[in-house]
Amino acid sequence: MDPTQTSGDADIIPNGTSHFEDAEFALTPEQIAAHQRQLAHHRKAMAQAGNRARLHALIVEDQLFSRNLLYQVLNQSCAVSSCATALDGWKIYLREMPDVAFLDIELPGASGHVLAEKIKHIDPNAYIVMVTGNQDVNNIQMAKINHVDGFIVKPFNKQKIDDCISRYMQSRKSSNSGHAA
Amino acid sequence: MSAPVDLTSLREITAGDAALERELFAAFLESADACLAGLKAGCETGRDDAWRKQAHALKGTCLNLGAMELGQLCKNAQENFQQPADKKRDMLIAIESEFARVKEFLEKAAA
Repeated sequence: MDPTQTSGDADIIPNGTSHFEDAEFALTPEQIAAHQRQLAHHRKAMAQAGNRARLHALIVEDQLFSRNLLYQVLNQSCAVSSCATALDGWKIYLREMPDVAFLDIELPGASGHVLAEKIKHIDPNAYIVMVTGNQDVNNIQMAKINHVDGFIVKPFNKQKIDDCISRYMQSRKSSNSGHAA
Repeated sequence: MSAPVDLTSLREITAGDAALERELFAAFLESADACLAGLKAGCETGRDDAWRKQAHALKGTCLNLGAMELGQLCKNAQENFQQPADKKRDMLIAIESEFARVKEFLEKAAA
């Protein structure tokens, strides 16, 4: 049993399967509009709370050890939700609206790139960091196409993760000061 | 022969918490066992993509632990995923042998 896995009522896809149905990620236009309203409300509340709000991070990583390790680092400064598949990550993202999402790329079923694309489509201001063992051209290009905000190559360590959180905080500060101006 | 695992990076995270270290070692062994079973299956069934995915997953897990030699063997297995079954078996034997060293190291470190 993985104590860090908080996928709620989402269905877990067994590791190693290649099952992926795009329809599973589909939302109706009404659902998209409702989620976007919730996101806008959430972002406004976060901006008003400023530094008082505890960050919320989402980890989507199918490997138990890497997920637990990342959880241990993030849990020092953030509330953390985690799961093992892109579909679970999608469900958690819509439900919990985390501030930062750390997405592994090679996942069972849909890849981290697919999830990043879905999240950015519904929430262009989402802060997404891809975590991968493959720093190849295709992965970097896909990350650029999806406008992700960070890219961590395994092995990751505490410093790399802390740097990501610092960059997120900096971007939020800039964004909030922009709103205030 | 050098130690099969460098725990420096992991210990920056655990900050000397022995119970947490044991928990993470157990998670590593669980992840690695699942990947090794997947590699064996990939070798036996001739499914190159399954082999590549499992080698990739085990590589990331090993590198995050600090098991660099084992990570390199997995990287080699990942990159050579289209090799025939006998070559894959050789790679698997090398991975299993290094994994045994890593496991023994972790068991001693956790004791």
